[in-house]
Amino acid sequence: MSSPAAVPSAAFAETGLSVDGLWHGTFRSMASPVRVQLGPDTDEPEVLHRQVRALFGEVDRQCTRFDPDSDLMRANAAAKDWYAVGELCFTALREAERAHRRTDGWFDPRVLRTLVELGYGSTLPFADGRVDVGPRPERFRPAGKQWRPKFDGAGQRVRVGGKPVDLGGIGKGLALRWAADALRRARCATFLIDAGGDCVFSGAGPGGEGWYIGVEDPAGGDDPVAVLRVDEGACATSSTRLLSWRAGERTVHHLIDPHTGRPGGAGLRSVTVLGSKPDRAEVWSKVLFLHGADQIAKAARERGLAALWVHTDGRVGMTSAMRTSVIWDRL
Amino acid sequence: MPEQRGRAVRWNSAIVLFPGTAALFGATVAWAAATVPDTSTSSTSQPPAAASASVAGRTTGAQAVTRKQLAHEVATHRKNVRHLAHRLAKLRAQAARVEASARGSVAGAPVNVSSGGGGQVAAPPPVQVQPVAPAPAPPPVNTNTGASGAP
Repeated sequence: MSSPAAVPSAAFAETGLSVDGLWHGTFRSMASPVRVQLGPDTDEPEVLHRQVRALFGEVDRQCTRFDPDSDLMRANAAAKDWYAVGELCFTALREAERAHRRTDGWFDPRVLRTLVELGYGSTLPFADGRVDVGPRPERFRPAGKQWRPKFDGAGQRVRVGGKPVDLGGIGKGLALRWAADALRRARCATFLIDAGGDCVFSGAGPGGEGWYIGVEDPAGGDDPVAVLRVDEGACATSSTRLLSWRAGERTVHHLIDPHTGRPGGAGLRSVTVLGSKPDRAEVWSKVLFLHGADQIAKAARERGLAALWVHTDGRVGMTSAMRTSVIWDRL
Repeated sequence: MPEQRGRAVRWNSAIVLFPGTAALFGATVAWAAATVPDTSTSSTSQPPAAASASVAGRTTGAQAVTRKQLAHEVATHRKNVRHLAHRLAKLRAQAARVEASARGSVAGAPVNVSSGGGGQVAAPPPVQVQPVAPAPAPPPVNTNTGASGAP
């Protein structure tokens, strides 16, 4: 994630107060930088920061696909057999199944198989620049019919099904949601947590006018494509800017269309969605991206989503629901 | 008798003339009150600067404030015009790109465009875009959204 020049330099310090009066803390989790900003009236910000950090760590431990011993990967290995998982993994799988239903199958965590086949079976050094995993077989298989995992609430057990699932994006969104819930329970009214480009926020921000969020230029420019002013809710962006790689002669990315089994979103570079909850904003940003440039406006309008998207040629589109939050755009 | 007759004639004349004169006087007063004198100069060749000293001398404080406000409004409108011209230039560039890509995607026989009797179609006049001031910089932000899942 690029650093906007206008953000106070102290914002990138490990912990402490910045010039804007906010308390800042940063750490890494779920393969992403996480930054916590707390209002000046927050009691014991260090304690809250540790809680948020511990929560992210636990979600990562239970839900990562990059550790074969995580609850998720053990449940994947158990496939059609019952397997007991931790509470966070159990809830995350339930939320993923709900999202799958709500989006009519556009969100499907079973695309993990395609990602592995495309060479993204382990962490790749995206931050170091161009990644090439070598030639891969062109076997694009749709995710299949509706995903129907089984849940045993009493025993906290799941039957994932025959195809392994990935909770990457929605897992991070849920970590943000649960962290925000924890801050609210601690009577922290003003905060912003940002995890690798997705964020959740509350209160009127440091200046009392709301939080200012820059929508990154997916082409990599210094200036954002737009600046949003928000006060309560969440924001998520699905973009191919970083998680793209070469697989032989092809350039592929991590946003897989479950209907085709191929990288989707023709004609788009990124989609940003505002919503009440970060996990849902994350799901919808992904789903809208997969609709591609031709269908995204219609899909976003039909769902009443506040969405902004950037075409591969740099053009920017947005819904009227998003327009009310945009205070600056580069057009 | 002639003297008596002459007196009667004079009285009759006075009775007739007095109301007429009074009406004429009243009409004259009304006209004078209602008529605004035309102060414009008959010569249009005189440069404005020649009169500026005397005009400036009569300028009141309220007029100066009004003039300042108008100047401010003009400046604001000019700024808006520059901004809109900038947006228009960008939109035209985008439209040109879209048109070019649409042309590129339609592979097939060339399209003949003619009007009426098949005469030449005049090319649209070139659009001249005035140089404009750069777009305003984005405001400071608290965080960025993008590159979801960034490592």
